[in-house]
Amino acid sequence: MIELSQLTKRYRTGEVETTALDRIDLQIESGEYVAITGPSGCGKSTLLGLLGLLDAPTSGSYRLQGEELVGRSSRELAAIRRGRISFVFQSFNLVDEMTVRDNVQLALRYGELSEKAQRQRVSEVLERLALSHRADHHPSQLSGGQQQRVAIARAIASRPALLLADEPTGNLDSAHGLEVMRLLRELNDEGTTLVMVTHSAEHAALASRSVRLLDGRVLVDTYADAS
Amino acid sequence: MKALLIDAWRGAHGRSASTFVAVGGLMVAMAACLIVALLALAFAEPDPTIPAPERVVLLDMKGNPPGQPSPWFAASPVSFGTMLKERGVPLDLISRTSADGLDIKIEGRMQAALLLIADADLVPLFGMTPLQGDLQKTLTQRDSIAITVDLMRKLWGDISPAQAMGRRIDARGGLYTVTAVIPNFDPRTPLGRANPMVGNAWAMVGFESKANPMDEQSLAAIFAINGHVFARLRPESSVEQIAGWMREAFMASPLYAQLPADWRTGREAAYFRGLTLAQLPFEGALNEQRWRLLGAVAAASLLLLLMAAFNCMNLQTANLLHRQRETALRRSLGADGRRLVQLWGVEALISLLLAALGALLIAWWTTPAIATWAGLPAELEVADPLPLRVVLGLALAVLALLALILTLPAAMALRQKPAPALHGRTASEGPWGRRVRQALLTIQLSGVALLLSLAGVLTQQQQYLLGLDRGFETHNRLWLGVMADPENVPSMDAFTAALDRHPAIKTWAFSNARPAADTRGPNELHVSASQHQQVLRVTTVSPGFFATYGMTLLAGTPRLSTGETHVVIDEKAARLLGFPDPQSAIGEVLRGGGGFLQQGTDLRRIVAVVRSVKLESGRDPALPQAFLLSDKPQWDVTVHGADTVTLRQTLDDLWKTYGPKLLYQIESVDDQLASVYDQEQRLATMVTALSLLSVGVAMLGAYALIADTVRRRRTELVLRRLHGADDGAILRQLSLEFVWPLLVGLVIGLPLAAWLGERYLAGFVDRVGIERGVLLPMALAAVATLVSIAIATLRHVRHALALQPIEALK
Repeated sequence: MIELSQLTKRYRTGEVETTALDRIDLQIESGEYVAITGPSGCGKSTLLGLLGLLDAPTSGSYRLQGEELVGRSSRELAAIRRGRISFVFQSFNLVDEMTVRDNVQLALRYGELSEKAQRQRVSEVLERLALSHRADHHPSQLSGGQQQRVAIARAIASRPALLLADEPTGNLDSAHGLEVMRLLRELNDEGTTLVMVTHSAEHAALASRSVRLLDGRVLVDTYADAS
Repeated sequence: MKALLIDAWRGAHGRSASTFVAVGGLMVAMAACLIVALLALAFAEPDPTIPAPERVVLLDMKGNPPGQPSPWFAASPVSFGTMLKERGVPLDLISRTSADGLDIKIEGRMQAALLLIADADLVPLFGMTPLQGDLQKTLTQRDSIAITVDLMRKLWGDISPAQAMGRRIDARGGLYTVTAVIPNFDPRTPLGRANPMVGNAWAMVGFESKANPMDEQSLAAIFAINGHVFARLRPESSVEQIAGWMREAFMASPLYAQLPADWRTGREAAYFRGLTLAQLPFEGALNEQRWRLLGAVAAASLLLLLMAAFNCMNLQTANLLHRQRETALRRSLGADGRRLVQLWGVEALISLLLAALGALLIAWWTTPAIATWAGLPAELEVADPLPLRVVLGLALAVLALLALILTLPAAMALRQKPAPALHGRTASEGPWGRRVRQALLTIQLSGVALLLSLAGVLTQQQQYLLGLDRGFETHNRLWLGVMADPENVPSMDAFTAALDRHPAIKTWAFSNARPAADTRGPNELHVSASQHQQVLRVTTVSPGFFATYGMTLLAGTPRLSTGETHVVIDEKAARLLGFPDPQSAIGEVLRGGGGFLQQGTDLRRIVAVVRSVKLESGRDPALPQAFLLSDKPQWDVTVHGADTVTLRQTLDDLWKTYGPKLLYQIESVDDQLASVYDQEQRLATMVTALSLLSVGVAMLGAYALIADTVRRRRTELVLRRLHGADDGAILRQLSLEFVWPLLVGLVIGLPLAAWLGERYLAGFVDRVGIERGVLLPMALAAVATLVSIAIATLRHVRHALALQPIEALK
């Protein structure tokens, strides 16, 4: 599904050039559950940004479902991203002024679905994540775990092929963290390709594959025991 | 307290951008209000040299002949002074005054002055104190004269009042001895206005003086507004009683029976009233116009202040929500609601005091120039020192504004729970707070639309008035006026011969009125051979007048004749006098020259008819005109040439070389026409200036709102980008913040502007059409409001459009 070849990302700040990712080669098959780990500053979030088409590489190749994406305009990338890639963030990124329902529907606003179909889809995902009774609440009225469930609901509302999660349990206590991990596992079991950045070895172990980065390069790429 | 002040100052200083916006807007609005207040005080204040002005009354009259009611004159026949004295009404120091011009011969030249004829009782009544001599005695003697310091200096240079005593003044064919020197009159004196050519050079004589031009008939007339009568109310009398006393005296006069029967049978021939000097600044057509102007500007200034206050309220709300963590921390350290409100109050007060201080400086600095521009005498000290009442009013306004801009934001901020903020979770202001802020912006935008539209209406009407076809031309025409006794204008033969010869002058004419500037003139009843009666406005002119002013001749030729009086009438007069067409009026004789609205016996032959001419202002209907032809010199000379620059130089040179040694003044006729609408022009300029300031204030408001919107909605906008929103979608999101305030603002502001604009236009007989005068300004105001919002929000909109989805990961 994803094929990265010699993917490099450098940042320049004044005279100083920093290599965030250095000639990464990585293939992710459809339906995989990949955990990306590594110390702070190793390039995890940069890799997630590139995978999510939120940033452009300095060099190298990125093919998604066989389609080369490097060199595409931001408008084209937005169109590719829409409905195919979704995100779950550490800080939830919910909009305070919107209700839970509106936050989830935001993911469908710029797609092809009619308003009625959007509302139908939102109801389904809220039902699925046991948030229906909170649909008209505002994020500030929810617990951290509930807020992250809303964020996940928003991420899956568009039925994406690829779900990217950036430290999804970073702001949660362990109980709520486990609940979120269970949800992600379920989504992966249903066929969603999942790439998750995490610091937690425990949560990384729940993935089917673990990629460890160091100084912008892939240090270890291991698959969990199939048994 | 010191700690609180330091804390508040740091807070205000730390948010220098928003403090600057708040202070800047408020300062401009407060300065506008202060200037209006200072002008209002200056207009309303009676002459401060007069003791107890609220007990000093002026007798007032307005005529009521059938079909010709006049306005109140703030004046009366001087005979009422004599009559009330004789009738023993409970008034003290009844004093008559009348004003005139005075040509003084000095060292072979003429020095123009103003002459005040007054009873001696005026001196104690007005508390007049001469610098030298005995003023009261002067006013009882035939050959004595009192002069102001200005006249003394004009006549003899920089001498002391003591040195002026005993000097002789040669005027009106007699010699007068200076027996008193008085200070210049206060600019607010009710005795008379300074003259642009003469300034404050006044002379004073008594009614018994040889210099008094009023004959017995004038002194006894009961239906001629020829002066003023002042008196002091006795303790037991009131100003309301004066009307009755005047009416009784009027009807008891033997002259009352000589008024036409239809004026007085079963009806009042005139109305009377008394006015205290404290009321006087609010009376009369000029004062009414002045107060209307000031009222309009005051309303616009208050609207501006309100808009600036709303900006502050908006910024304060944004600030306090932005400071939730700091507030929570203060609460955790023991600060209760009262202490927090105290802190925020002192912060807001610092902004308000800075704004007030700046406003005081602006007002102190600019008001004198604005006052002069608004028509107040330049020597009037309107802002130096600043009146205590104004400063106290400003202090009260600051306190009221403090309550206005603090109450709502503080209530919203105190409602937030401190615990979540301490954990890094800040609450938004919620939909209610957002709606309140949008409502405030709505009011601001409605104010902008209103003021811009009104400025447009006033400007369009002004342009319409100046461009109106009045039946005569004003371009490339200059007027030369002299200060001279109208009955005794000296010979100008050498001057007129020079005018005839000079190639730069195409045509020239004498007249006893300035067609572009004198909107009122004498009216006389005229009767045609077919017994049609019509009141015509009468102007005396030389035959070249019609060519000089580019009037269109419809029939006949304006020519003089010996032995009979020739008259030129306009088309409207011809029609009203029963002539079926202009040609049929030629050669016909009119009877005129009677007293006020009474039939006369002078025979006037019509020698020409011109296209209808309007000499009246745009506020009044056009009167039918009659121009009496005369070759005698008049005090107004108009010349027509190719361009005004050459013409002015030529006229100036010719007058200096060939004209009599009289004070003179040269003006372009275009300027004269514009001067008729001075008040309207001032109103248009002031409202335009205030509307532009309101645009500035609203732009600051919109800028603050969009800045806060983009900051507050940053996450949402990034998420929208993340989910595929393009530039148009982001733009739509941001526009939504402004669409309703803009639409509702226009819906409120524009109809209000249309209503006020129509009310303003209803005051004119000549008014611009509704499309050009009201609808076009409204449309332009709507576009200007939209554009100003677009400009104010441009920077942050670009910032919002530049937000990238990757920022969601940060």
